[in-house]
Amino acid sequence: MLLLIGGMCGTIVVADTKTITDMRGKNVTIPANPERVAIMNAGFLAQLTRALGVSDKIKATGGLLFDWEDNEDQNEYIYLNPDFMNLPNIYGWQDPLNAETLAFTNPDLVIWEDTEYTQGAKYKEQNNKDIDTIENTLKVPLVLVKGTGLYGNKDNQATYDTITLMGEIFNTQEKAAEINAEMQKRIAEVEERTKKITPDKQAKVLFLGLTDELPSPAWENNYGDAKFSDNILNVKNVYTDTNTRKISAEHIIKLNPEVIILTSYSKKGLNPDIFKEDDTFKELRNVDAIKNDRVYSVGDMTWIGDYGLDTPMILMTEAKGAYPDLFGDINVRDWSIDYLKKIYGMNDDEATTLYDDIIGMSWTKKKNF
Amino acid sequence: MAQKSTLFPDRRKKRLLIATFFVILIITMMITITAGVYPITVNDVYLTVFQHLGFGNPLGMTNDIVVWEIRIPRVILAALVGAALAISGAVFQGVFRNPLVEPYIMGVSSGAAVGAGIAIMFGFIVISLQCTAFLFGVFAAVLAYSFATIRRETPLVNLILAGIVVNAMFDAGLAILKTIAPYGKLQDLVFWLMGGFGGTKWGDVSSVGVQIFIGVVITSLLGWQLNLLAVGEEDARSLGLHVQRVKAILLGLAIYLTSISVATVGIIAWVGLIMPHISRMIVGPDHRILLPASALIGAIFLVLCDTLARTVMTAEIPISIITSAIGGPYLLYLIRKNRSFYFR
Repeated sequence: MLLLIGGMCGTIVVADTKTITDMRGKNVTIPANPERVAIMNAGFLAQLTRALGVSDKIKATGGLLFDWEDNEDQNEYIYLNPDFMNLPNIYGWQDPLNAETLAFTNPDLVIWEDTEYTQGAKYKEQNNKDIDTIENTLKVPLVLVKGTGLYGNKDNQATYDTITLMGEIFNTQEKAAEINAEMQKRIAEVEERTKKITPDKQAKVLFLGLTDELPSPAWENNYGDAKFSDNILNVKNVYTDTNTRKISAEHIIKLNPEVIILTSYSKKGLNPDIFKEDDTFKELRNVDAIKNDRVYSVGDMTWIGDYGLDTPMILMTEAKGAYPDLFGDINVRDWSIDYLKKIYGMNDDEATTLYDDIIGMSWTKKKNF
Repeated sequence: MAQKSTLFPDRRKKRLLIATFFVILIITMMITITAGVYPITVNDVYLTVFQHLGFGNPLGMTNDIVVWEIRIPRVILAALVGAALAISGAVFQGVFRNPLVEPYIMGVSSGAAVGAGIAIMFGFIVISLQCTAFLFGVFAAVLAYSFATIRRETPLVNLILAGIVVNAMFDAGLAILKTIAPYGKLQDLVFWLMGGFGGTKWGDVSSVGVQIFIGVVITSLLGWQLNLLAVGEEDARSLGLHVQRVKAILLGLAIYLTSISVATVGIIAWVGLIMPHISRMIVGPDHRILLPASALIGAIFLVLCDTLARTVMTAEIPISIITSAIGGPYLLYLIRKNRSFYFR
């Protein structure tokens, strides 16, 4: 049998198969050209399959792709991959894997995204069992990739590595490298400006997952949309508890943030004017951030910290919200739409629809943000 | 029902005791509105209250919002819900002549929670959220009572077992709701089911609170009929009481009070069980006194529990965790102390 040693790191190609090293450090033999792939993720892999142009190779999905929004038509991942709506759901992550459905789809590869969410005590054991079922019972090769910020890491290396690995899996290394370069360039653009902020000048920010009524969860410094608050954004998160919990109106008044970032958890968070328009929250109107019109939303860009390809847009939105003068020359809306066009190869209309209507960032147009 | 030792056997003294409980409740509420995560001096809290009562000049807007818009409606609603749950428990225990029966154990709370959960999840609302919860609560109570009744008798063990079965059925219903709920709604559903007064507004006090207040007053006035039931249904009939109608009215009121409480603040366990017991130990088994005493002691208890829930940690603790932490051990103590009565 002809043995081909791939030029790429960690990849060995043998006839119709190749061996890659996944992010557990495990060597996995997979098809040289995977054609029937199941993905387990909250959106990052769905973004990547579109960006890499391999959506048609996905034959089943699981995890939390469709569970978040009531209106699935408004889901970013469905917009990017419309056919995913018709694929079998193999569940997994917070629900046990539906092994029979997975077997029925006859996959030649499963790509499993490990995230902070799946690594939590509540789901970790179940997820490990499901991985074992796929590998040892169904005998389907499984490649484990990692989401952003896993294991408390506050950098994007896992994201970049996953993009590279996905390029290797689908033989789209060149496009994967382009995506990585674009992301890194954009994030550096944020970081270069915010790193000049001294501790006494740090903006006091509350990352709030606004629900129908208060109390609502506040994101601590190592969670969700607040993950990069100290090392990239260089802001002071006013919620200093070590766990993300629901906090009351009185607590928010006490914290009195200068800036409120409505996180992706926010069911009412697509409209930064919500506090002024909805009497449910009228008791907060004396809070500095609300009084001074410094409430911003990251829309539906992220999913409990699984930043994915949205990372640069999230960071730029939060950074300009915290430091409007520092980013006065940047129109976040134009900057973000341009990024979407480059990452996904979209035209202007597609990217604008994605940004405004699907991700829910149309407020940036109204506020010329 | 067993006659418990009574610290205050004289009826006039008992009435005085009711007045005392009322004063203690007011004092408790006045103290607890000074507690919270936002730092306001006690003086400023009361100046804010007086200003709203027409005395003195306005203080800072933030103080006003925290005291008047956040803390006071919350404390009032906690008192009203505590009263509703406790008096409902006393009614259940009186009607069934059984000290271990209460709406939560009988499955009424779970039933109401399923009704409210369905209303929240699917928008299936019969007249109102509270009414939907009430209908499911009635359904749960009827189920439990039907399961437990054999040849027109409803033995204690049957009733408890039936309550366990009904609870299990509705808990399964709640589990299904949780399973099919989108993640965002799941978080809300779980937190709501754990109970809490976090989002209380004056609007809640004026709508739900008024219903609870009226329900508690009417139920308290029917205490004498429970006294007649306590001597046995045959004797009560011979004294001219329309037993089935009275039982239906009293249980209907108790289920309604429980259901609107559950629909508003979620399931809050144990209040309906332990508060009537404490009240009975203090004022005795006379329901004319026991019912208002239970309501007032339940109100004091829940106001204190809610104050702990919002002040012990920087974040809110679901109030059922606190009531369960107190109620569970108390029930064990009660059963151990009265083993011969409960398991005869």
